[in-house]
Amino acid sequence: VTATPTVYVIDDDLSVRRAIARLLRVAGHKVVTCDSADAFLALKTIPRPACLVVDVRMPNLTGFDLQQTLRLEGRNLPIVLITGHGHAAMAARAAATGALAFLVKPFPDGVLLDAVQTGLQMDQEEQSRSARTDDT
Amino acid sequence: VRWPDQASWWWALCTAGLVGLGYYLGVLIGSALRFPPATTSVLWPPNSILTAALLLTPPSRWWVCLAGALPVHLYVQTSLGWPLAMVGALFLTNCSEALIGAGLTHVCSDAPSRFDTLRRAGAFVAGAGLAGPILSGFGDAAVVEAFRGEPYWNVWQTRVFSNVLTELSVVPLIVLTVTAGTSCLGRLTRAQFAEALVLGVFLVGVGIFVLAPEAAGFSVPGEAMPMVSVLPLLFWTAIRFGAGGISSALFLLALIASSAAIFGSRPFEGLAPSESLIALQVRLVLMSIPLFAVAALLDERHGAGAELASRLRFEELLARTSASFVRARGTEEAETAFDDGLMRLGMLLDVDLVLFLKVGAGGRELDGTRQWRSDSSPRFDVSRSGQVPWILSRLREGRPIICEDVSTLPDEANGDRVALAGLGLRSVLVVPLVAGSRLHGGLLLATVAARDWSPQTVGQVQLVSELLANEVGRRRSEDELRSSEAMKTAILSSLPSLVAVLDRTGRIIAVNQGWLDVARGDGDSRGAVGVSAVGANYLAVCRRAAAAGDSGASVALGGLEDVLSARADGFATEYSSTDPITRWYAMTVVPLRRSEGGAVVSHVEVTERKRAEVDAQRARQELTHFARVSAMGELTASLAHQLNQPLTGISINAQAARRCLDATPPAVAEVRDIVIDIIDDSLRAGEVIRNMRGMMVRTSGESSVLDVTALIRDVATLVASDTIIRNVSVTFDLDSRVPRVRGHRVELQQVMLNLLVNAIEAVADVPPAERGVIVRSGRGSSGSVLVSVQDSGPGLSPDAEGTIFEPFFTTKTGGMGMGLAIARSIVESHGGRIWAENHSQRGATFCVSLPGADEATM
Repeated sequence: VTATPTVYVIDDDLSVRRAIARLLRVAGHKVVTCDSADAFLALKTIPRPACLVVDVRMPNLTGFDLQQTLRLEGRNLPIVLITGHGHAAMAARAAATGALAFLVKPFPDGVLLDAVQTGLQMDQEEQSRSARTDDT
Repeated sequence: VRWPDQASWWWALCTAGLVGLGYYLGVLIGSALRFPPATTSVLWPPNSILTAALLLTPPSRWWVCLAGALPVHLYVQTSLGWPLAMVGALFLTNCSEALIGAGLTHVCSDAPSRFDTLRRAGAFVAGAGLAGPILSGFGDAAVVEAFRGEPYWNVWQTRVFSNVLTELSVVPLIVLTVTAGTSCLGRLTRAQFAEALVLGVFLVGVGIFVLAPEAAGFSVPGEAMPMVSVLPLLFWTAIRFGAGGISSALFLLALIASSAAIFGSRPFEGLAPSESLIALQVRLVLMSIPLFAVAALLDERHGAGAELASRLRFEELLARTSASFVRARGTEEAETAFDDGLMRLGMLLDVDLVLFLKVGAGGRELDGTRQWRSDSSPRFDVSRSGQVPWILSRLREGRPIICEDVSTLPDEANGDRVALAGLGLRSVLVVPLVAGSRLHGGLLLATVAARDWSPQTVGQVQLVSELLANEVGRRRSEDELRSSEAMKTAILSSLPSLVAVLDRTGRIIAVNQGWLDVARGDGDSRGAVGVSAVGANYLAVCRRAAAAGDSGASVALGGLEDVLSARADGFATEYSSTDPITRWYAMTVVPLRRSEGGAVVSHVEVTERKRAEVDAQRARQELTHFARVSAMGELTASLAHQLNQPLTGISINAQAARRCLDATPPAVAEVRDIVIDIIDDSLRAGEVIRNMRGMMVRTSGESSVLDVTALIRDVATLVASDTIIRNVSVTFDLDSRVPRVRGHRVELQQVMLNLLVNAIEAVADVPPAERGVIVRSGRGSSGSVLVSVQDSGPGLSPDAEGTIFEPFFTTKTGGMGMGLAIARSIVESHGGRIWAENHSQRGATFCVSLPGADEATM
């Protein structure tokens, strides 16, 4: 049984958070918003397939912090990182840590929607692969 | 009569010898004038001689006189073959007469050896003249009756009348001769001498005619001349020659009468010679007593006249001297007047030297510059004399020195004694010159001969010394006044500023050279307010200038009125003038602390200073601007982030809206929400830009009253995103009730921003959980506002604490090191203070104290 794919938008800035969530909803995604990484981590269940859109700069836990925490917990969620002022070093770090995409605000809507679509598919495949593994 | 102690034994011997000699002469006369076989003499001078000796000596020495008389008495009377007991008893009665007479006179008279007042003459007549002979007569008569068998009352009567007459006639003669001595005779003019001679001849002549007509060998036709015939002559004597004259005349008459009686003359028909003599004696005594009174009264009057004359002379001296002081113009005349005063005093008091002693610093010498000496005295070369330290020390104590003979000065005055003796001076009188409790010197009077300075003389000298002291004091204070005036004038004219002294009404009463130049239109500082000539009313001048629109003048006017009316203790202002070119002046008004009131006004040109201040202000503003811009550069990342957020929101929302519109049917409701969000975001972006512009704008020169809390909150929003990016927790502990401050908003924002950015950077290297900054505001002392920014960073190194506010001090690799220096310059230009201290646990605290607006307006 496959649940409805869900996109999690995690950004401390209300207007940016609302805008991204709206765009994704208009594009037909189910969207859950969180105003901080801690709020996301506090969620009990994360229905799969899921994709995370995370702002890099946030108080307390940053986007990279969240990514690292999830990896350490073994939760291999696809993550799209967005940032206000990206530079090469940050992009390289994002690539190294396995982020799905690294978008510098403002960005064209197609890029985000493609990245999210890709993420959700990847997670779908990941889920079915692990389900098969579980069956065998 | 003086009693030098050292020669008392020698003096006693002389006195005793003299008394003995006189007594012997008296006995010879007395023994010759007797009615044999009667024992009692009709004229017995020894007792009177003894009385005179006692009157001339103090009671403690009377024994000397009595001892001198005893051997003579014993010798003479034992040689008459009289029994020793009788001789001794007679000596006792004789002595008792002298003792009673002299004793009573001593008790009753203030000067027993003088007869020149009614009291003195009365004491003598009553005591020595009457009481002595009468009382001693009882004993004498008893002795004679006991040893010689003569009738008691006869003896008494004979002795009493003869002795009364003798006492009255002999005692004044002897006493006056001894006390006045030869000087009295010397003082008689030739006319007086001739008069005395004529009078004596007349007296003898009339005496013989009246008392012993037979002895004269002829008689005046008619009745015998009565006793009263001598009265006119006695009157004459009393009036012209006083008690001494009366006494002499009486003695003459008594001698004539006694001699005549002895030789059988009888002026009174039908009486025995002895009785006749008694009658004569009684008449002479009765006549002489009122004549003594007349002589004393005349003397008294004469003395009063003489005293009056001397006082008049003295008062004339005072009047002339003080008048000449008043009239004296200039130092030279004043000195002449002073010298004249010394001369008048010296001549009046008949001294040989009058000297003004200076008691100055180190003044130990006799100063001969002011002195007078009599023509007859030797030249005193005072300048070459020794020192007179003792006299000067006494003068400093304000005590006079009255010295009859310098050889009697105390031992500590040895040097003074030698100095005075070296000048040939014997007697000195020194009185201090004191005026207004200040010692100006001393007045030294001296004579070559010994002189007894009478209390009257001392009093006169003290009066004159007061006069001289006042003159010296007045001249000295005039000199001091003149020199202090000169000093003030010199100080005033040396000042580069313009100074004027105003009276209570604002009238200019004195100005310095600088003011004078400007008032004449010469000086550079022509723009100074209201500079006008002496006599003009400065207030009125300022009022006119203020009415003409001179703002400096109206400010000056207000301050000046406050000081002149004692509403303010001083006033200071700065004003500019454009006449002829722009210049700045500082004006001060200081009240004159005197009863008449008034003020001192000064204007100093401060154009250079003002220009430098303006330049410095401009430089500081430029530097502040530069620093602010560079601080903004450091904030670029944060600002870019702040601006990027709404832009991102707008961009994504717009793209979402396009999708909504592309959909079928178009989701118009969604698009409406989107547009609202876009509007919000664009406003937010505008806000960020406005905020940034505010920081970039160059400071204007205007200050306003600011709320410190709002100011901190503005700056906090500016760095809010920065704190998020750097993951620093900033907490605010602000007291909204702190006083407001006066200042430049942007400049003070700059200070706060600088401190916050510094604090945020300071905690960059500590673990994120410990990155904390606390901003506090509160009330400081005396109405000031205290803002502190505390960080949890590594704190200040000991080196940094002293230099952290210096320009170009930095610990940051990219920093200019200007931030804190500029912050300090801003805070100090607001009258505040900025400092840094290490927190006790960790981190540093930067504090800013700013004066509250209430104080800042002053």
